Amino acid sequence: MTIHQHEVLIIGAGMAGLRAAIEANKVADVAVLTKIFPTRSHSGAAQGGMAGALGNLDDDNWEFHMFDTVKGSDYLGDQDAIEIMCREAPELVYELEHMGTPFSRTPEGKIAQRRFGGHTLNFGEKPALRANYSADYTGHVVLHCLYDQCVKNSVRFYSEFLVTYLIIKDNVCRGVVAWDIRHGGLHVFHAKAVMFGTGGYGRAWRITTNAFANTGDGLGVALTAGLPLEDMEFVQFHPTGLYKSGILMTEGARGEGGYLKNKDEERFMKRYAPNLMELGPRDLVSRSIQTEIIEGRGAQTPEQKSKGIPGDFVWLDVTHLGEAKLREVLPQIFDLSKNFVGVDPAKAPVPIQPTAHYSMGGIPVNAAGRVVCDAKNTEVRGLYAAGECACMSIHGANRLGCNSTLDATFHGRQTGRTIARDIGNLTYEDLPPEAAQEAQAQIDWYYKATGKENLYDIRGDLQDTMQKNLGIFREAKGLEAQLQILGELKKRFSNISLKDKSQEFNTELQEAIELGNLLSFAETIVVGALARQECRGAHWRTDHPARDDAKWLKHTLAYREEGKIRLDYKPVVITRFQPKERKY
Amino acid sequence: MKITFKVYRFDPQSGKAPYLQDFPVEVTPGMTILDALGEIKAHQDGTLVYRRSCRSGICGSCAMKINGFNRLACETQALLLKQSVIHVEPLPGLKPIKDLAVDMEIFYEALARVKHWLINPDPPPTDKERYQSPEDFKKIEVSTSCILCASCTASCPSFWADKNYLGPAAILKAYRYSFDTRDKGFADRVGALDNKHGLWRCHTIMNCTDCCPKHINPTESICHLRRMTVENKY
Amino acid sequence: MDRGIGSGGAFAWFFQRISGVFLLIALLAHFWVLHYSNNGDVTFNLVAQRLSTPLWKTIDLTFLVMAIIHGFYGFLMVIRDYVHNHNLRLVLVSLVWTVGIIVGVLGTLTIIAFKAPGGGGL
Repeated sequence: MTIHQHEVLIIGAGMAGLRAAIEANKVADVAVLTKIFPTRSHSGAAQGGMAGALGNLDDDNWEFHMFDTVKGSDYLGDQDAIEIMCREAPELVYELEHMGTPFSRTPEGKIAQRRFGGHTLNFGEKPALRANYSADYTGHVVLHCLYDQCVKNSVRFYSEFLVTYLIIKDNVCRGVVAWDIRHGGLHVFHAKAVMFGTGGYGRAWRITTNAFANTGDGLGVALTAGLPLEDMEFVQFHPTGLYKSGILMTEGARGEGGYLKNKDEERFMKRYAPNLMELGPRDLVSRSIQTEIIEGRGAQTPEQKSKGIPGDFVWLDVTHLGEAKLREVLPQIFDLSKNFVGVDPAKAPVPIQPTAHYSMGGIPVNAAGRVVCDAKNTEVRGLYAAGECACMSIHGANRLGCNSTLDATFHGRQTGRTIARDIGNLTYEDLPPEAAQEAQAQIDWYYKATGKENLYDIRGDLQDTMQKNLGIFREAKGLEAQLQILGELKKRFSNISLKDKSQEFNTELQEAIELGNLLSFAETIVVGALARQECRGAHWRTDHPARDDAKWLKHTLAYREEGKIRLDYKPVVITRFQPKERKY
Repeated sequence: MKITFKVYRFDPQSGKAPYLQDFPVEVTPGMTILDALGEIKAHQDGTLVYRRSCRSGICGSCAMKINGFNRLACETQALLLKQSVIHVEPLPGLKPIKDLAVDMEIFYEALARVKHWLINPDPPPTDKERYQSPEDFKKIEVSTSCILCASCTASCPSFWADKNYLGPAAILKAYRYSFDTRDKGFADRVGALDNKHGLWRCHTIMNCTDCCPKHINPTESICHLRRMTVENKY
Repeated sequence: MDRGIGSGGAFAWFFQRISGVFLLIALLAHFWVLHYSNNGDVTFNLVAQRLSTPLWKTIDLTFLVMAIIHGFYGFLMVIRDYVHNHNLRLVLVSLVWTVGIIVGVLGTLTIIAFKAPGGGGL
């Protein structure tokens, strides 16, 4: 087995990973491991913007941003971390601009800003222009800019390497074992510091904005290594995914003035968020859409109409904005609606439905980006995480739009700086010999497996059942059923076999490992959701239809011990804003 | 509707020459080439290899030659091709690794040659952005939406002829930075551009423009850079 | 591998455009002079007389040089695009240079040495 040694190892090359690499590379030898080429990372699919109270077009300030983020999180966000991020967000955006990120501009040449859901002025008074954007390619241009900076600074990349094993012993992280997808074979990466920036886990659902790559691999290996996962039951459904595929249609479409309409052409959001209308927070808007659909006001396809089947989508109407404006500020949604639903958004409304989008939960970290492993916030030496795979928790129970691009870049930078500070005190710790053996045994298992089950069918069943039982609305019955189903799926998974037995570029093996990860952490989502008997943010229990601060204003920690999920809880950090009723 | 996918199969380990394998797939409206490949991999042949990720035309992983034309598998609907047989092959001009996956190394290396990052020795203003007019942003906006899928470079006959040629994608990147009002790095890039493997290899064939999934016109960028190069020198 | 940094090409490319424009104008002028300037009467004496004046010798020399450079640079381009075998390329490129120089020398000699019969000209 090849052994590589790098002082700092960053897993994942999205916004968080790349930004951290730039920072850590200033003082240490950094290598970035990524299972796809860096610019293929899903950060690039972010469209609408990056939050930051620059106040280029209105009297915005960071305290409004902080309040909105706290309120948006349904008060589950940790306010110490939120405060730092919102305060320093403008400086971060300026820095990205200085690095070369091409932003759209105001007439006087400043960074252009648009409205986004849940972002307001004066603590909820009216929508704020806070999302810094580059047409509807914001994530794409930031990702490419960061990649360009990494190449400029000679950051070492290992592309098409899939991490399968995290080496932790005595609460000290020593490195990882990764599978070389292109050539086959396991490689041991020995490091002083390891950072995870492996992204979210939306691929556990059928209708999702997420890429094929978003299988939460970092969470899977962390859970296996004995670490807990925090707040996994909170999964955001984006209100506007393209009908059937779930492909993202940016919230910027509503930020620019787009309407949501039901089958009667009614702007139904007036009944759910009379003040902010379509610019309510995502959990609220998604629930509203789903309610319209459940109550029979969903729009119908011609086929559904002729057969008398109730519709299962609503309309996103931007026709009144005019083609010229749309082409200027939302060029990508033109292509997406034409290519995937055959609609010209300038001429007709686009059919949309809520779609699994963002994972609020993840590997627990403190405000410095160091991974913590229990309710007392004990740090794991040499292990860090940032971005969507981490749970700080900035987003609490529900993330606001365009706070994720900010979170990923901001905490990528913060964590990179933490690593740069820590690296002098960290050393290459001994590699336990059993690590490589165990990692090899895992791989060997896949090659030797001779079962009858088809892994793609198992994945499909997982996605369908998660969609059904862990959607926007949840109840005990469905959650218990899902727990049962997961058990069966795991049993089936132990009975798979690979048709591709080759070493080089074996994507079937890769997908099997990814499915293993999906099945592994899916249980923490279900167990956490079943235990949390309240409605908070994106977690909505129809059988417990109210927020319960007395019992549930706390973070969930899920461990896997002897094959079972054990839950623990830790308090929320509340500094400036006491929990209040959440109305928009 | 039943469509036969003729898929390019190649495994250097097997010692066999590349061949086309037929896969019949029941295609429904809206189904993309990528969906069809997924169906083939899941239920007909798990050994099929291709790259993909976002399936929404932004990551640039799944560019391949579909019925003779370089495009993204994820945003090409099978029924819209109006053919009962669809050829799916790897991008031409790049070394095939396995089935539909190609070696992108020389593509990325060409990018690095043009120094694809902002070069400006002047310190930026503190606590605010460098100003840029909306008109100046417009000049580079379309070029910044390049997803590095390599459709263009792999469709360029000049690149097929000269694998050291920068290719349209790398030159487009040079344009994206050199025509950014915040950049002062043209002098650092001109060595790679004004070069027998640089700008002058383009014969304005415009295959790149024809196949770009993001509707970019790299040929135009090449022409702008040629003019910039000549104006800077003479 | 040959990355060719710094070996240029801007001048050749630029000159190809300049020579192209020159040739276009020169060819049109040539066409007009030959077929229209004298009611279309092309006689040996007329041409011989024209070719004997220093002005016409200069014009024709420029014409010759431009045409050779433009044409043979075009050949080099085609070879560069289509011939990937190093040895064959060397042979062909040498051939282009040799033929170009021979044609150039012969043409120059013809123009300079030309004297109109009957003692006109230089």
